[in-house]
Amino acid sequence: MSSDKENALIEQAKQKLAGGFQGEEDIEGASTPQKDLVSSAVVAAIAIAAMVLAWKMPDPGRTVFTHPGLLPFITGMTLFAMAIGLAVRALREGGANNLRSVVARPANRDEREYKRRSWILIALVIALIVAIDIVTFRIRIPIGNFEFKLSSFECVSIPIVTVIFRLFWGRSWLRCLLVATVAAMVLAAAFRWGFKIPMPGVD
Amino acid sequence: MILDQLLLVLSPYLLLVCLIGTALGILWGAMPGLSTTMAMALLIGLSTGMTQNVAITFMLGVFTGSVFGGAISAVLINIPGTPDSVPTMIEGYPLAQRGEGGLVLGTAIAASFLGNWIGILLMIGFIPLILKIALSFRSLEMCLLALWGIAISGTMAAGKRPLKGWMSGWIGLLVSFVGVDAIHGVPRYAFGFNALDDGISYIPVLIGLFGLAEVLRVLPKTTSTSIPANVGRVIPPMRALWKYSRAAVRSGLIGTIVGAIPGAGANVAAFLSYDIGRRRASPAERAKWGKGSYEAIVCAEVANNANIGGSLLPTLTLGIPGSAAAAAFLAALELKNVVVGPMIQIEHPGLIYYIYWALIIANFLMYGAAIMLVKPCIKLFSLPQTLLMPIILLVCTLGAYAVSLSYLDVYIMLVAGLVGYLLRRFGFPLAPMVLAVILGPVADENFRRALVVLHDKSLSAILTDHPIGILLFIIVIYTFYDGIFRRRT
Repeated sequence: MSSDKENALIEQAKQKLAGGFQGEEDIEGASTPQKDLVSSAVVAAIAIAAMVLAWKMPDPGRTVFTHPGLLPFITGMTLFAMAIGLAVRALREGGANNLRSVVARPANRDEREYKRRSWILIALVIALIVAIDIVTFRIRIPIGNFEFKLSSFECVSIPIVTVIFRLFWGRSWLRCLLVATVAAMVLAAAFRWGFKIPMPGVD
Repeated sequence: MILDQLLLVLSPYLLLVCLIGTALGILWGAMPGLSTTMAMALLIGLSTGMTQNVAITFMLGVFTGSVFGGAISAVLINIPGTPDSVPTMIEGYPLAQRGEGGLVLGTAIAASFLGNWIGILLMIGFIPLILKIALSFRSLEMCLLALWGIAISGTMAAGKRPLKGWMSGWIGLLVSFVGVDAIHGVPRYAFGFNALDDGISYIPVLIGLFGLAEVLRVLPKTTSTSIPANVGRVIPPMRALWKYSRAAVRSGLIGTIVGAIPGAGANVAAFLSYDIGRRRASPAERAKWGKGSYEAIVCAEVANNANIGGSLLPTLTLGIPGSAAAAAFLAALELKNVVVGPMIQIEHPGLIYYIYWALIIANFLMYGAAIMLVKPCIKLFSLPQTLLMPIILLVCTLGAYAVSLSYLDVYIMLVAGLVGYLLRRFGFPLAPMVLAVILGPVADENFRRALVVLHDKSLSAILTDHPIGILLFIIVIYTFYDGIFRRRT
């Protein structure tokens, strides 16, 4: 890292500290009024749905105080009020202007690249988790008293994690395959034999 | 009983487990981008295969080690390993550039050791008192306490935007209502899926929000490796620390108190203590702040380590996690059928003493392991996050599955991870959501029970019968008022 970049990082951290009370999670800068307006609309929709479903819940009790939907309804109502509060603040801060910026292509090249990589990663993660569930088989090879087991977890995760390594780590296919194989096998072995936890699917 | 528990912790096997946990925690914390909460969330799954004492010892070792570990990369490569190490980075890195890296890390180790002691001692001192009060809690008090926990967590996690913190918490509350209602057995928000009748366990939600969401956030980043500054010999300067004893004690108190507030963890503790320390420093010392001050490092490191004891205080006595990392510890305890809260001493006699001793032993081991591990940590910095994150993804998957050997939990983890990723992108904190998923059932059940008990009572009867409940009600109202109307500076 260059000296300028290092100093810039420290200056950035100092400015943050000078900005006053910091929350436990660094969310400042992650949002814009436009994003707030969109999120308030989504949350308001969730809140309305929660209230409607709570209202429709059957009540086997004799009093409203034990109604199963009572607290869900109140929670939905207060969440709706909070969403309105967020929307009002977002509108005051100019959230209605340039609302398309939320879904627009980022102007910054790094941000565009980050977004593209994020989408690819999300797709691969979903593929990994769904595939482990769908593909169910096992291979058992007895070696003396020991039985070598290979479940769908290893067979699915090795190729998908190899692709993830290749795309994000950027080394050769062979190296990525090797690391993915070692990682999946070691983890599966640790869970299966170390922690006595069977693998998902047929183990 | 106290000595029995000490002897138990001192068994060679548990000592080894504690040492491994502490060392792993230090290495984990030292790696930029890997937080204490993430380590604790991933450990929940692994702990299912461990016995109760092994799981507790291992997790407390990792907790203690990883909070300190963040200081190593902050000082040596100008990247805070954990978010609470930012003040240590501001002060430590310039000193390391001047060739004082060893002394800075030595100071950080000594300060962390002291901070842990302050946190542990205050925890030991206050737990009996809080348990005594908590035993008198009835439905009204438990409901209000749960609501306050979610509200204050929103305020503390979101900083200047408490509304977003509360919204995150309220969404978590809605998630906690999924499943068959505890009073009438009516399914709520299950949409006809029988699998959801048992509700959504908070453990896969926690793994998704703090494990998978982090992988999704960090892995697509293009990172470059850094060359560490020359570290020199690492010797904790205990005598020099004496010079800053007042600042250390003050920071320890701040760290513990902040830790006890739900949602406020090591990050708030370190920043607050650093800020107060700068105001209280002598003019000569204050001139050094921002350019490399040992007193500032002491303030930040004592506070973030004292936070551990503080965060376990409400976790063990009230069942309300003081931080997201403490929530993961609570989840691991729940997997061992340990229900923490006011009844902990009655239902699990001796357990609390075991936790005290495990923390004390972990602290001693952290002191020794930290000195030994600083140099190996430097080699770790050359490991790119792009190599670690895919492996963490696999740990998340197996960890979520291991909780109840149900693949539904893996899907819940996936959804929680995607939702967590989106929430972070839109500036919402995640800790309030986890806290709400944990506390939602407590709030719901006690809310309705309190209404049934209190609806035909007069106001004067409620006021005289429930003084703590009334006080808690005022505190809840004030928390919202403070977040809405008071400008935070």
